[in-house]
Amino acid sequence: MEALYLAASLFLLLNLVTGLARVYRGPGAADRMLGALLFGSTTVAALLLLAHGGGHPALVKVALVFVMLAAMGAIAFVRLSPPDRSEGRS
Amino acid sequence: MTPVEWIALPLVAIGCAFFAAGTAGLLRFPDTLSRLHALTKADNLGLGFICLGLAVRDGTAAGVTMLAIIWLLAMFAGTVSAFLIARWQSAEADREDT
Amino acid sequence: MSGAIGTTYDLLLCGGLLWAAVQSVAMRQALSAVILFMVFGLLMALVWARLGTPDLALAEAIIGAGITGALLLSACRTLPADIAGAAGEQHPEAPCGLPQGIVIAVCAAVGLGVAALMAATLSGPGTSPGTGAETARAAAAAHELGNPVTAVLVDFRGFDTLLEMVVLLAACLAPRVLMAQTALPAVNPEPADDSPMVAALLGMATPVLVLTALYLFWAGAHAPGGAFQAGALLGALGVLYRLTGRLAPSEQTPLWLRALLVVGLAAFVLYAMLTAVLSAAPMTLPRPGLQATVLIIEFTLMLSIAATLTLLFSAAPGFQPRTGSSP
Repeated sequence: MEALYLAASLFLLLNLVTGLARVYRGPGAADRMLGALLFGSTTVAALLLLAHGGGHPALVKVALVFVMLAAMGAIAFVRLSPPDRSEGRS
Repeated sequence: MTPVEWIALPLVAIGCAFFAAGTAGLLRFPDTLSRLHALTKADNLGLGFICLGLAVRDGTAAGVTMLAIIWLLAMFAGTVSAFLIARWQSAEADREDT
Repeated sequence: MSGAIGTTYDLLLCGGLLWAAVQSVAMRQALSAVILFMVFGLLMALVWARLGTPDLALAEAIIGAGITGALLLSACRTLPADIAGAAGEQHPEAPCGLPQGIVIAVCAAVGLGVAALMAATLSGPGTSPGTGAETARAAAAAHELGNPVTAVLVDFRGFDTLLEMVVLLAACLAPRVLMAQTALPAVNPEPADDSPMVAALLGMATPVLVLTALYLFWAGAHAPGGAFQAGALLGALGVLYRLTGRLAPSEQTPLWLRALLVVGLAAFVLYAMLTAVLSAAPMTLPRPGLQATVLIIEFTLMLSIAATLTLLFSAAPGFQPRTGSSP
């Protein structure tokens, strides 16, 4: 039975790798940041499935931390994105 | 397969389907804002279904509470992140228009 | 995880890691390169989780993806947007002056050499019973503390942890020297266009992060966690406060901040000296009072790590709560 949850985790990892295409192609920086957002939720789900299916219950704490990190990454990007070439707004 | 598994596995499968829908939206939608929309809604729903399935399978009060907290936090963090990125993108688009 | 699922998992992770690493140095835009670096950090954390080490996964996620990502993003502000240069698609020469082909060949050769070395080590004599490595592993697993990582860090290799704290303190002092001698721009985003959602996020994130950090510190003795992860999480909270303008940079380092920076190293040195004087084996945990000693040491380490990371990100001599605006 555990193997099915691990297969689900593998499916989510496939989603993650496919989403990297948007990170690569995305014409703007916001599109690339979307990739980081994708990572935020998909890795949380993959970690939860690994925790329950793979027998490492401590991974649930790691998933909790990942959730907060996704928000932190978005805030850092929005606050610190470099100014536009035309004017010096930050 | 115990009865609990019969409930938990379909929930997890539905969650994975939502995640797949979110990724498809991320790749195929034409605009940043619509991609943001697809990603936030579909991924958080998918996470919710997976948390529900795992909670049904887990059964202990501590485990269920932890999964509920993770899902609520993910929704909150996803909402704020999406809002901030969308606002940044609109400001960037305005800057490029002027 | 066994069989086909495990192998596919590992292949996907490795492929994604390699791709993200290559792209983060090959990307044209500095901002995109940094985002790919954060992606690399998150994938690395997944690798650690897959290998069954939650401690390393936590540390990699918080520091590699979170704090270092924010640090690099703030460094991007001073770079031109297109780091490859506005003119010139062709860059046949790598920065060291050699042609690109030679550089790639050398890197690939080094990578293959390291991989071969690791393969030899994994199957070599160190893993058979009766050798030093096996004895160490058994001792760590049989320690009174449930978490073998903490047992190694505090009990078996306390000297390494002491030197780590010295390195952290030195890393905190080096930017101070730089700041005194050059004009480094401080990270000072103005809170003028703050939105209420950010305030709500901070209001929710603070108790969650503090509670999680305290839990990781408390559980570090017997479950995955420990001072480093807890301190890094508190440092990430400090970075968040600096980013949203709740903490303002200050020109002086206040006394409480100096105390926080030093308390971890001071407590560890005190522990080393006391064990050297009172017992035959310096820097091994005293058996009566084992838990209390570990908790005190880890608490002080956590405070120092948190203060160091926040100060490193601030690029200012100190920080203080911003007065005059309602959080």
